[in-house]
Amino acid sequence: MATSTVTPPPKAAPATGTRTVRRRFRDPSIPILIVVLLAVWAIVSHFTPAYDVPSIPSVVRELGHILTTGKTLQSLLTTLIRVAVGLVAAFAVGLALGLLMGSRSLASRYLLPPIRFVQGVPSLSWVIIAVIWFANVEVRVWFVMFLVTLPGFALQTYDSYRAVPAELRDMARSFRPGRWALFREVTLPAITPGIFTAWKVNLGLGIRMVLIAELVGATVGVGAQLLSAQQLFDMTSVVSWTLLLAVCMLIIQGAMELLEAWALRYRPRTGDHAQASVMAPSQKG
Amino acid sequence: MSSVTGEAPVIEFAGVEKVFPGHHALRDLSFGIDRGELVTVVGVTGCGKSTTFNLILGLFPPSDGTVRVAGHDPHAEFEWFRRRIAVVFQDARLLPWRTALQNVCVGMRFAGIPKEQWQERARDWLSRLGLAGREDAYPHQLSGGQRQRVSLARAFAVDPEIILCDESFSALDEITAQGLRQEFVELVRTGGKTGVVITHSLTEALTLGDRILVLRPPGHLADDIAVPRDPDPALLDELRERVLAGMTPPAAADPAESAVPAL
Ligand SMILES: Nc1ncnc2c1ncn2[C@@H]1O[C@H](COP(=O)(O)OP(=O)(O)OP(=O)(O)O)[C@@H](O)[C@H]1O
Ligand SMILES: [Mg+2]
Repeated sequence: MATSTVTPPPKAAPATGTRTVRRRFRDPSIPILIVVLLAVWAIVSHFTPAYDVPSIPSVVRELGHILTTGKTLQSLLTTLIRVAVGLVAAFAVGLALGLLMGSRSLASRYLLPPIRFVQGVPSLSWVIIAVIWFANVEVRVWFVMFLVTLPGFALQTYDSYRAVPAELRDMARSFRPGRWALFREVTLPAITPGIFTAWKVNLGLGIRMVLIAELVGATVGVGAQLLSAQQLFDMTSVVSWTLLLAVCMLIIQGAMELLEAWALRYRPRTGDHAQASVMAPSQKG
Repeated sequence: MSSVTGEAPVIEFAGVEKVFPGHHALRDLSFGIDRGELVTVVGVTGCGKSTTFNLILGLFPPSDGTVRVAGHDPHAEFEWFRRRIAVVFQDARLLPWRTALQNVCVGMRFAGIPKEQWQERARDWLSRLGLAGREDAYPHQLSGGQRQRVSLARAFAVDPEIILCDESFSALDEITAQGLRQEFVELVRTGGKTGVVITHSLTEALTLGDRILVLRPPGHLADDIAVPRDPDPALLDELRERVLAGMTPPAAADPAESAVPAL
């Protein structure tokens, strides 16, 4: 048997995830940006009244208060849970719709137009419709979260499904796989990168929209806290809540990226190997 | 057809037509392959070789005529062929998200082989094909020839009765290809399997199998040439000429051409 000439890969199998994290820690840009931001903030707050730009110490105190008080902590958690529940529901339905549209052209003909339409409706319209339709605050928020993020999940799944290489599907079919084995081994891994993209986009969208949905009628949640802060002209509180939510978002997205790096660890790192694509470029027959 | 054993051919095409939207790929294709035979298929590019394979695999039905494999319709009785047929594509078609070992196991999973056997069989085949130690490499970490060997291992691990190879050795250097060819012939012969190999190499066609099916555009059988096991050079030259003549007929002088129904 002829031995081939390829050098063995690093024995420690792909550690893309941890590697990315380490690289990020070594990268000085983030600390530098934080320091610059804090410096600008300190200078500006020094020359402006506290009700316009609160001082850093007051915001730190407020953040400490939020994170140690049961009621405020509950607001933060409630908001995050609302986002999570809305997104998980939209993901489940969107995934099912996307797969259905991808595998049945009849389904795509009847479902694609309405989903595109829903995607085109301004998010604020959903908030107003939700207020008119539903009395229950949780239902309102859920309704908005669901409709705002559903099209992204459905359309991304649909596109990814259609992009599953026909060559791999034929290869699998030649062995006569069961439906589940085909889905588990070919379809699902092939659409996973698309699903991660949809999650990252929709998380940002969800966290931004949840506040608007919470402005109307909610008594618990970051939106409600922001509303009462606005009514009290409590700029410290506004800045603290905003910062808190933005940081939460960054943490969640970071966690998402780690999960993605782990799930897609089979991928060649850039510059790792010439054959980065799924298939060989020359497809005969 | 050329049944030596008297048994019905294991692969049988009768008057097969295949029309794709805007393209007539196969016209009145008829041939038979016996159990235990190792047959090569040659023909100019685009003459319908891969289409013929896809019909044997039952990936789509013929537009007309009948395809029978072991007496069954591979498209209508798709499930019946589980574990009975396997194919090695020209490109390895490995799942990029699975390691070499897992790719071999996935083939067995698809074919419904009990899970307890996957590991042992996969390791066995990978090492027989010279890939011991590379089990945990992902496809992108393997060379083209190594990927092709994983693909061979995946097909052989399900232990099919019929095995198809679509130009599986053509993308490799001659030394590697030669090794893999010998491996393949041995596996088919010792395993009592039926093998069909598409090739663009006349030398491969003349040395690999028992018989050469020569296809000619548009998807028609031009010649069916028996090859002795150890032919002398003079005979080889003669056969080579015959294969070439079959592949590229002078259009007017060929009786089969005029027999093609106008479509
Ligand atoms: N899905 C398809 N739709 C339309 N035309 C097709 C399709 N598949 C194959 N064809 C056409 O049918 C003809 C035969 O194709 P096939 O892939 O069987 O050729 P081949 O003999 O395998 O060629 P090669 O040696 O280049 O691999 C070609 O002209 C091709 O363009
Ligand atoms: Mg081909």
